Amino acid sequence: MKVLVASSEIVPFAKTGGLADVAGALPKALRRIGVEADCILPLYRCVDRDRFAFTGPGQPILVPLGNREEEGTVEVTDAGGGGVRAFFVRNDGYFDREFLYGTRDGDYVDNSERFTFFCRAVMEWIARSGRRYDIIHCNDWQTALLPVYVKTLYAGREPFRGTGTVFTVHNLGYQGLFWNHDLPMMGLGWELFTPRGLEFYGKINLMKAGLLYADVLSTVSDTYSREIQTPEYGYGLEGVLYERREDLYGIVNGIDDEEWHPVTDRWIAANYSADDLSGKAACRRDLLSVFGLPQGDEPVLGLIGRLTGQKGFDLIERIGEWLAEQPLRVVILGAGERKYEEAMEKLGRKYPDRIVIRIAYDNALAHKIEAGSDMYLMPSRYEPCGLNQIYSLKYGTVPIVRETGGLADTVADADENPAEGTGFTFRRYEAEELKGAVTRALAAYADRPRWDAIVRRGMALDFSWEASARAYVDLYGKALRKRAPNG
Amino acid sequence: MAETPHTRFTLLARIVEISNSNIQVENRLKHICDFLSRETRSDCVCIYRREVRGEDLAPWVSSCVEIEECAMMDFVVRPGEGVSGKAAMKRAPVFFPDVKTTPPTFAVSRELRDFTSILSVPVMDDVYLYGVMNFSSLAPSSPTERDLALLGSVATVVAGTIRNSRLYNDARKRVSELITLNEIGRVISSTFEVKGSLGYVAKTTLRLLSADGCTVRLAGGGRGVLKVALDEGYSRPGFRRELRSVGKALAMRIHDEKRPLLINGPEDSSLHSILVAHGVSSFLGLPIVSQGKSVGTISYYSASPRQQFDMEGVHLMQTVCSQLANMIGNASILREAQRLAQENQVKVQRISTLYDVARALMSTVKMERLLPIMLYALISPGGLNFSRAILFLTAEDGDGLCARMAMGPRDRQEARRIGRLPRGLLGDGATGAAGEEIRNLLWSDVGNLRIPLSDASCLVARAVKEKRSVRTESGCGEGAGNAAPRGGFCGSHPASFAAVPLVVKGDARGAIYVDNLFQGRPITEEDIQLLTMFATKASLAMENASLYESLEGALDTVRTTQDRLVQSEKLMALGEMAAKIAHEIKNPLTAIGGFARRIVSPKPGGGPPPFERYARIILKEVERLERIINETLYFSRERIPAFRIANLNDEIREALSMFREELDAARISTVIDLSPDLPFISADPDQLRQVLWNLVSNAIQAMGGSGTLTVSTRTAVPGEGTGVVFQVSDTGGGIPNDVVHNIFNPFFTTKAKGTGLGLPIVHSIVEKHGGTIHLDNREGVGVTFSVFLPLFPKEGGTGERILEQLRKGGMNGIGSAANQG
Repeated sequence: MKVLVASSEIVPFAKTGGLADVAGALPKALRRIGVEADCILPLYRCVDRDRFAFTGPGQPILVPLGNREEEGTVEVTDAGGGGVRAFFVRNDGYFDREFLYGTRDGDYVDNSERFTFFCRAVMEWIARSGRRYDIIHCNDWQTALLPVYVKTLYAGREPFRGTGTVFTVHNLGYQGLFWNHDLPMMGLGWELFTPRGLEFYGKINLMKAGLLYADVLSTVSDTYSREIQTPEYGYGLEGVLYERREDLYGIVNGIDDEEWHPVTDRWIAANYSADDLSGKAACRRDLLSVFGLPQGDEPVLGLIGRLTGQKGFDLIERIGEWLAEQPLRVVILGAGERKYEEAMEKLGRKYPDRIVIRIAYDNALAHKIEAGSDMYLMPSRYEPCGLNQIYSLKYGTVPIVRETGGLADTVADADENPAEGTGFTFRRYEAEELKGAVTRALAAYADRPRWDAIVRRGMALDFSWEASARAYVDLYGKALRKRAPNG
Repeated sequence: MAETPHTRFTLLARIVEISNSNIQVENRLKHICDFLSRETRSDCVCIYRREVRGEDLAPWVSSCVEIEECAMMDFVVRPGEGVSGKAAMKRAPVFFPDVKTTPPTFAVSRELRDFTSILSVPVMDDVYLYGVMNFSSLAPSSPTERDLALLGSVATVVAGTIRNSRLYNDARKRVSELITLNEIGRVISSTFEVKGSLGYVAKTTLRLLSADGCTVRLAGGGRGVLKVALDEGYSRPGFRRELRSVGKALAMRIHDEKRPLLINGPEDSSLHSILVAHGVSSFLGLPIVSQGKSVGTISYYSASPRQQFDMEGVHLMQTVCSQLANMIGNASILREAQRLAQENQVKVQRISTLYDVARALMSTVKMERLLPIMLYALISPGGLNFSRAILFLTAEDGDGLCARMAMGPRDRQEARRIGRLPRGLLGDGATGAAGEEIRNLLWSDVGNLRIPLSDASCLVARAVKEKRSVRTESGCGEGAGNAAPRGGFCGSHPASFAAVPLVVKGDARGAIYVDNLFQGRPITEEDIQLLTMFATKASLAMENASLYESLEGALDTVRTTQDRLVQSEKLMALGEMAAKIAHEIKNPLTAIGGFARRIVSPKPGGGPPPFERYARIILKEVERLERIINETLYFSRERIPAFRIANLNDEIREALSMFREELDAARISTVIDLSPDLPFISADPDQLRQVLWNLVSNAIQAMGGSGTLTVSTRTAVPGEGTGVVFQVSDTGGGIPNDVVHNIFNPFFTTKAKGTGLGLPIVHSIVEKHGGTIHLDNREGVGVTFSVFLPLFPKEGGTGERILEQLRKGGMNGIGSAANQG
């Protein structure tokens, strides 16, 4: 089976969120279990061309966009690791920019054109290069046109005549809503622009397109796959998702064991394991000094992620003062909405010895936080899968999470399940609920043997990518069966 | 507010920076609002957008709320209303220091909210007003001149941002429309299928125009009548039904005026209020004009107040409509052409059916074969394809019709069987097996069916009386009903039946009844036309057959007479021959008698008579007598040839010697030109001599006193066949051209005394030998008979024997044998 994982961001080339981790780790894991997997993404400015040297000359392609043709090149590198070939769609006009999707002030105005170009380029490249992929695995709205193209513009054409498509929803909150007049540019007829088709309240909804046209759908956790069939989480697409529930599966992401393992982690001050947690104390000391916080016994609460409402920052903003009063040190890393950045910075200025915020995405710091914190906070409004809570479990950092999506699937409350609990959870998206969970965690922290047991249980869990990759291979099989001539 | 030139500069620089970033315009404006709100210490900075039509202002982006929330604010500020409306109308900044104490006339509460002071700055360039920008604060404030100048610059930058974004979007929209138009054109020009194309156009343009409903009406048969061809959109239940009557009125107006109609406000049409009452905010309708004539209309409805059709949409749709009009025009031409082609095909089909039927009718002249073929032609699928047919003939007494024959299935099963009969059956109907098959289809029990001609209610009688085809579409009860059930030919009521008279020379000889009992289709006018043509042909064929029948009768009589004549002629010829024989043998007998007497009683005074010489003379004369007797025997023999190997030259010499004296007496010179290489033939020598005798004696008689008789032989040339040819020519002046064709007829003679059987006998002998005889008649000169005789006659079996001989001994053997004989 040959699989092409198409994604707008892939670790280690370009990353803004968890999507990049999945799209980077999955092909490698597939290779490890014997599936020939390649990946493809746009060639952004941030792709390090020294580290990932192109293998051979690029392949020029012509991409039809409405009434014109755009030139592009497909570059390839083998340096991404894991034996995975990574292909890059290159068009510097579209992708040689400082950011992936937009500046911090907003999305690029031509995003529909940029990712239409990317999808169309992938199709043209496959058609011209003579490659044949059994499965094209698409991720989120940026690659959602691929299943549409396979079923419409390129339907019945070689080499797409048996190609199955799998569409994975990583975050339903970003749907790729565009002006209806972009439809001809996408090469699609107006007959697709119906409420049963790509139309979404007068606009084109690319996420919906992917949900409608892919053979098999998946999300990154079982709970999330059920949640998005309800109005609360469905963002208006719950109807489509409910209709396709037979083809909708949930597979929790694995984590990159090479990148995220306290025994081998090269970013942290000292390595450690469940058997010997002394290294973790060194990491804590290191973390506190890096962030300029005083050393001490009070537990450190870490938090990494986009500063958005989705990640629960409105809740954090609300309990900020309360948090500062608790026997805690808080370390926050991330960037996002200006108002949360400002609110957090304000909090940090007010309580410099207790709360510190670093507005940045920094991989090394992220590792240090995961290793050096005692608790990890993730009060997401919704969380398709979430990785940081899994890293935390692996690093013996007890997660405090809201019971939603992947968080609900990966963290069990230690009070409710004394024998299996790995963290602390709360249900309703309310400040008081969150306070309650933090309070319970602090209480447990005071009880060292109990705390150590919770830590060790979390560290013992298996979140390897191989398990996830096997589940994906099952999905690929389902997609291929749907594409087989006799059902 | 910004205090120093430096801070003013940095403020403007940041605004320009945000304006020029490549992100969505709403995001840019939002950031400008947020930024200005912080920098100017306004509690809210809000940009109002001027609506595309008119001067109304709608909130667009605000520093207080998210972009999406702002888009959902559902209110407008009319020009002159509130602070913003005043600024927009005056095209200049308007400042209200305290709206609480001195609210603007026509205050807009949602604009004022809890604010105390509001500054509204128009967002405009040198041409166009894009909206206004409001700086509102909860506390009283007072902008300085400098502040106003700075905010004016900011507003200009914002205007530029909006203008650029509009241009960018317009360009994208144009491209989108262009591609769509192209695609519509491609689809329309690739088909003649009107309904499908209309559906495609409606689907596509509905979405292109962001309309909520689209209805296409097409002009029907009568002028001014529009019928709904299809609806598209109308997702809200009941929407379409509600709009029917007003939609129809609008469509009729567009249809009559042949002009597009755009209704966005009461100023556009009096029907606007009705449209609004049905939830329509904008209407666009266009005529589909083909060759100056409106062939239909297409109407669009928008229910969203944000989505109004504009002139751009009108122009776009005019292009689409003219393409549609072309397509509809072409499609109707195509339909017409197809109809004509179909008509022609039907005609050709009918003609070819008629041709097949006519050929079948001409394939026989025998009445007993013709009639079944006629009926079968009526019921066979390759013929006229009726269910059942009955032939009526006028009764002997002239008053009434008797069923003569009937054909057709008794039940559906049989109907299917007949439907499966081979097509060629009709054409082969005159011959053996096919004829048998057709005759088997006849009903056995029509004998006693009789219709009185006086029965006016009966279709068949009426057809005969009026001498024209009649049909009915109802069952038996009404038309032929009175006659039908009695005869049982119409046991089940056929859906449709007809009768056609058979008219010959103005007289109705009968009629044909047909029905469509099992076909179920009605008998059409075209069927009647075909049936009438068929009846004409059938009548002729029947007439021919009956003429043939009487001719055959006459011919029989002639043959009998002829046989009798031949018999008596033979006797006459015998008599004549007897006289000839008597004459012939008289001379030798006299000679024999004379010399015999001289031997018995020698001349007194003479020496002893020369016995030997006399005996020789007598012997010679006896031989001559013998020959004469033999000759005579030829005539009494049966005329069946006894083939033998014969040498034609010998026979000619032999025959001519018989005429030696006659020729000498008539002073006729003879030219004999016999080919020495002449092959032997298989022939009856006696009959050959008879032929020669007749021809030569005819020639002698024709020449009367003097002339030249030429007799020649030669081997036949390949074109004539394998055989020999001999010719007998005279110089007797020939036969008059007007009678020459009679010469082979029995009893024809140009001679004063003669049987006229000579040449007929010659003819029959030559024919029996498988040969031919030709006559080269030159009036005023003479006649040449050329007789060709094949080497082997086809009949008689001699050929086989001779071939056997040839194989055994070769040609020489035969030749020598013949020579010896």
